[in-house]
Amino acid sequence: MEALMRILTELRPDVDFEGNKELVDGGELDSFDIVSLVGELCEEYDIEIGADDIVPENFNSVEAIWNLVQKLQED
Amino acid sequence: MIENIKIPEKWAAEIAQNISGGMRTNFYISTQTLFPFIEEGRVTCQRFPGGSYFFVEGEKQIDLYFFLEKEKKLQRLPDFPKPVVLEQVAMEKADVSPTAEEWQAIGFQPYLKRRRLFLSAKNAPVEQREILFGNETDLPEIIDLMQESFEPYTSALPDAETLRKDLREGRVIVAKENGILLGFLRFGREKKVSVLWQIAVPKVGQGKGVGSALVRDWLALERAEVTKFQLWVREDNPSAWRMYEKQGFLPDGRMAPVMIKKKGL
Repeated sequence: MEALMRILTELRPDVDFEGNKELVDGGELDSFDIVSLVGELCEEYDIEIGADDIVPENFNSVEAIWNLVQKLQED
Repeated sequence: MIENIKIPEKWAAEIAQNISGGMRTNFYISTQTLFPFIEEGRVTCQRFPGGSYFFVEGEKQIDLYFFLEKEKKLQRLPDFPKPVVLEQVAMEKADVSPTAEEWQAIGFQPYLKRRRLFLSAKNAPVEQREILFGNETDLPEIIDLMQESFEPYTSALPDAETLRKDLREGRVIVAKENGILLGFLRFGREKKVSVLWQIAVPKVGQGKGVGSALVRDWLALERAEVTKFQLWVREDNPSAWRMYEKQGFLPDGRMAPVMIKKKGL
């Protein structure tokens, strides 16, 4: 989780991630952020994120991103 | 070898795999947006060791999307009968990779550069304005004005049907004097962000504050419904920059250099 927060704040230091449940739907993270984030997450956590998982619901909050990482680590 | 992309789902999976693998790319659009183009046979691909190019054929140009592993080199492109356009969104503080020089080595030339500006809705002025919406009778004049005012390849100009729909649904604000069009502003929504797509003021309207008035109309109209306002402005348009800054817009650190490879280079 700590590494995830570091990745997110480095990517977008201007965004308040705590408690935000609409990071994508609210327009805080755009497709450029998502592409950068997916690459970083895969490298950090040694996972592969498939096309079906690159959807707004999985990136709308820190918790959703963390759940996705955990799910893919278990696979 | 150029291949036609035929199976959208397979293509989406390949792209996700490339992104997961941390490849360098300018592919920042959803694959869903491009699915209809695949059905129309407009998407082709060239694969090479360490990377791939995807070409999306438009009316006037071919848009290039690339995936390239770190340390790998760009390959020469096949010849196309239309200019090939490459838009590479990046953070201002980070280096663009591959660099402009690397693209130039395979025949591209710098074309233009845009920066993104934003304004939080809570910082937009609260004001009552009398807003004049365009209607369908303005369509031909707005199309002519768009074609005169914007470069043809990367301005995301709408086709006539899209513009007609926007006019009907109140997404085009106009300024007029004695029935003569002095300018228009077309906007849209991306989630909870209001995006200015095009604004243009013909010679007859210039020097009268028409552009600022249209922007203020847009802010007043959308303020209560969105979290922020966003637009891209060309670096070589300082008067537009000043106008947006006066309204409170700030750069958000995104820039988008555009390179072009003209036919036969």
